[in-house]
Amino acid sequence: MRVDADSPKGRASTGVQGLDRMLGGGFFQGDAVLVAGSPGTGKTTLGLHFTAAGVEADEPTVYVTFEYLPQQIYRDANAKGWDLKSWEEDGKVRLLCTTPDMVLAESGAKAGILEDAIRAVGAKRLVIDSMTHFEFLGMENHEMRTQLSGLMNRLRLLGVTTVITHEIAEIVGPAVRISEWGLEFLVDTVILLRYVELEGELVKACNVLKFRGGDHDRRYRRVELGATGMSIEADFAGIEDITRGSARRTVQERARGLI
Amino acid sequence: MPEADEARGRHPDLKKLFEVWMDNETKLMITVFFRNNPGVIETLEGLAVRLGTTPDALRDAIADHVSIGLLKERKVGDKTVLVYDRDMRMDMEAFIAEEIKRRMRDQQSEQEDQE
Ligand SMILES: Nc1ncnc2c1ncn2[C@@H]1O[C@H](COP(=O)(O)OP(=O)(O)OP(=O)(O)O)[C@@H](O)[C@H]1O
Ligand SMILES: [Mg+2]
Repeated sequence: MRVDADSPKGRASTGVQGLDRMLGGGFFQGDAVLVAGSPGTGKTTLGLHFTAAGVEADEPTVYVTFEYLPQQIYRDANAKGWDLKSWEEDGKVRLLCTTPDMVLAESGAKAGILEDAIRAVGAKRLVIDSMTHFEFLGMENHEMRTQLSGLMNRLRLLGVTTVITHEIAEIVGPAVRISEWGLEFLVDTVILLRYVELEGELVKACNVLKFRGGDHDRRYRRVELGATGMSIEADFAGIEDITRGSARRTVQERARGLI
Repeated sequence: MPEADEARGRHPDLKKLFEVWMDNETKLMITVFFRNNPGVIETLEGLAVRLGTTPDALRDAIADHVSIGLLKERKVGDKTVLVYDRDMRMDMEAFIAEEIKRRMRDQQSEQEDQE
């Protein structure tokens, strides 16, 4: 799936046309974006789209993972038509597979492994998939918040457009909270990926929850994940209570179905 | 292959290395692992977990990787991590490619001599 290579000035294409449209042209360059979502809603896929869009736009990406080995990511990306491995060999992408404490370490004066990697490829984009792994550090919430705030400041100084992902445990129903650490307050933009139970079927939905400094589409839109990645479709017009998790078509819509 | 000559210039021990390497399971496993996963940055303990073994089983082979420069040790916070040297990998591969070619050539000429 190709996206127009030219984004509006100052924007970084998300790699998903429908999401670019919702945001009026993409993320703001240099911003930090949180992609929060239930398991399997496409957080990683969006991270890969963002990376691919970086290759198109000549904005190299550093892609950080914790759980999966690079060889697994190359393989999964390959299945969707993204040749991460050759991008990496061409210096357009750099994959880091490490532990969360390594990412947090040396947030002081001395550069850390993120800075090293960003410098090595001249990265303009950064993906961290996912912040959920920081839970394994076993820090108190307030300590974690301080650490993450430090990390986000570090990223701002580096001037990269950052996408971090985070898992929301609830499968359906209103998100009680996005993260224990207030991640949503540390970033400029929040993209929410959720399941919606639509008359007995679970469908995926996307919402721009927060977009600092820009107008945006406030509706929930349907998300499709397929062989070529993510696409964002129509909104849920004619369906009520989308955010309650269990949505129904409006009376009018149901009546129309009967006629 | 000029790259291989260059590589040899930078790392005169490559030939010796190649011979020793191919005889050691653990070394080979580490080399292959980092070749497939060049972005892994881990402590010795973390690496052992990823490879499904113990730090003790890896220690010597890792030390050899570090001594020839295929892995670099780097201090991150209060820990020491291992980082793969991607440039060294290129050198290594150029060398191995040439070495294989050379051996094939030798074999061929031996065969021709016998005929
Ligand atoms: N070829 C495909 N066809 C249809 N759906 C697919 C295909 N490939 C992946 N998917 C869907 O994408 C989902 C996984 O996407 P992805 O890994 O991006 O989600 P995630 O939010 O990162 O998941 P996790 O919570 O495991 O990290 C699968 O659950 C599946 O529904
Ligand atoms: Mg994922």
